[in-house]
Amino acid sequence: MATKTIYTKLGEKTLDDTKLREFLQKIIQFELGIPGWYEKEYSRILDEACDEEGKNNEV
Amino acid sequence: MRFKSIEITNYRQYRNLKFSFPLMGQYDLHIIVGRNTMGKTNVLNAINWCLYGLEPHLGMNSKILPKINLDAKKDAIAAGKTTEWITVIIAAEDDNHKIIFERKLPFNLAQDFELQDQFTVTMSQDSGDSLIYSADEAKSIVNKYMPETIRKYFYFDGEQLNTYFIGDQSSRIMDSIRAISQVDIISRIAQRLDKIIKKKQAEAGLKAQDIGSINTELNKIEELVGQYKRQIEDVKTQIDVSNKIIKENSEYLQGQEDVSELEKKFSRLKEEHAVLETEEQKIERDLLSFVKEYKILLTSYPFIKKTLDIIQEKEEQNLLPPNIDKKILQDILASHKCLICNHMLDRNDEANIKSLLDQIQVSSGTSHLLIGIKSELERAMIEVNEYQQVKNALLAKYRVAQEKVKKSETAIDTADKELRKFSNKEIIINKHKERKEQEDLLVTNNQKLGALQSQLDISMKQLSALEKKLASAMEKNNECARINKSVDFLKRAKNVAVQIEQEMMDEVKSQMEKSCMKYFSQLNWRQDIYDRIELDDSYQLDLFHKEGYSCVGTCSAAERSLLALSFTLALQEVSGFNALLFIDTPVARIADVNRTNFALVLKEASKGKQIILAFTPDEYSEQIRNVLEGITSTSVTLEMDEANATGTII
Repeated sequence: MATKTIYTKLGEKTLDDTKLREFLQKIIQFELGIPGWYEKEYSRILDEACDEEGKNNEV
Repeated sequence: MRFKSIEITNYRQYRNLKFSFPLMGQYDLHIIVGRNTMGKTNVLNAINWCLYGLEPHLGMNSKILPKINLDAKKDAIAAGKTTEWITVIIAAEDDNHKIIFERKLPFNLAQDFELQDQFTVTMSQDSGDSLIYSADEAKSIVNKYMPETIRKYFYFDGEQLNTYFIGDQSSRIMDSIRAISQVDIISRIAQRLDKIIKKKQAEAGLKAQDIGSINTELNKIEELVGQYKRQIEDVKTQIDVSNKIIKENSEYLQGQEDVSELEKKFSRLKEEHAVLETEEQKIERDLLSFVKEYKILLTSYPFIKKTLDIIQEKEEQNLLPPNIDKKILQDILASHKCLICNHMLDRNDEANIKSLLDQIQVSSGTSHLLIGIKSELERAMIEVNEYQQVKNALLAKYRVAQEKVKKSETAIDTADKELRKFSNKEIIINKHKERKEQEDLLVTNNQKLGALQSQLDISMKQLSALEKKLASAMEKNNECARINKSVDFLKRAKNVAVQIEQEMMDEVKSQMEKSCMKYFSQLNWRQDIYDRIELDDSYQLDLFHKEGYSCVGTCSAAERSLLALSFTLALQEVSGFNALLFIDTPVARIADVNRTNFALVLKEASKGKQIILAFTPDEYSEQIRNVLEGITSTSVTLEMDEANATGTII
């Protein structure tokens, strides 16, 4: 339920920013999953988001 | 997540005990009934020990005892074992996984002490794949399902409920709300994003490069390199020109004597000739003077000879008067005494001196004259005698000078003839001169070229290093820009997380207040006197009387227990955190009608949540049985196996 609330609020606050929403969704999924080396995973997700953004900008 | 079973082996009073918690019907409610000392609380301890390595509900007497079951220990020693294992295994499940929490503790029987325990979590997917976690990973999984910080809200002793809000409750409540409502996930995300932002900002700071200064330096070196290259080209051109001129002139002058050298020689000979001529002329002048001088002398010679002979003769005959000093005689006469012996002069003396003075006046003048010319005459005689010798010397000198002049003229004549052979004399001179100049210039230019080449090499190396530096700086700046873009993105993400966190905390707090009040109203028999429950900004819980004043401090122990239970149920309801609720002696401090209320509330709560309640037979009173019997999924009674002094399930 709490997770649902988090996702709902995230959706509301990132209506105009899909990349940001997807990024935070992945981060939340990571935090809800089996904990691990967060810096590495955060950086990986960030790189994915920024690379995607870069590609979009190039287009 | 719900527990499927708990299996306890050799743990405290349990040799081998297994509880199964199947879900039967809509109520996931499980009852354990056992007299005091039967080990109900140790079931709670076994769960805490398995999951967290803690035994928070241990009595003072039990704390000094080892965890190992004493009968098991005795049997193991008798069987000759050196180690016996204590294990608690909790089998659980969530929507996707089957999870087994297992803590094992080896007990060294010979040394009589516990070794390091081992904790593992095995997670199986529906597909059958299993992963086994240990150490921190295993601990993390436990914290995901049942965070240790809030374990007291899942597994607790009803006896302790009345002290629930004593102590550092506000921070505990705040932590609980954060954790159980999963706001802590968002808080953690915000904190971690902040850490990454700071790290990336530091990274960007390190990568930021001053490209402007590198470019300025690069331009300067490039300019220098250009200058060196141009100078080298100029020098090379000059060297080529010099080499060409030297080659051409050498070809032209092949076999040709250096006319300029001849010219120089000719000039030198002429200069020498002029000097010799001057010298010859001087000697000529000396000769002329000599002749003039001796002409007079030789002409006067007979007279000189005769005069000198006469003087010598007179001298030999003492015919010349003595050379008396006339002045002394005059001074004596003037002073009337002899200036030699101081004899005073008389008249005769003075008359004699006057007479002498008169005589000397005439004779002495002649004598002086003769003596005066004598020395001159003698000198003239010497000169006459030297005439021949001096004449010969002068003539010899003159002849040598004449010879030198003649030789010089011959040499000049020869050189002149040599020079006259060259019809292109000027050209040859110029070509020799030009070749020499170019040879000198070539040496200078070769030295200059070497120096310039060396400077160019140094500058080229500097240029290459700077170009690499610039490329690296530009690359870094690109990276810097990329990092800064990431930082902006992360900041936006963090802001969203912080907003969600704040909103959720506010909402959860509000829901908690309402839900807590709802449960408390259901549980409490004095429903009409309490108005509301509030959590202030620091999450301090307060209960307000209908009259408006705060009354949590004046509640009875039973009411505080109910308040704590209400809070726990509210937390679980609001959070939706679907974890097991295990309450040992839940109504220890609650009596009569409140027990019924309690049973009704727990019954309702168990519809969506697994609840295990451990009662004493007294607690499991008629009021409670009336509510719960028939709807519970499982109900077991713990009895002591007298023979083995161990707990068993009936």
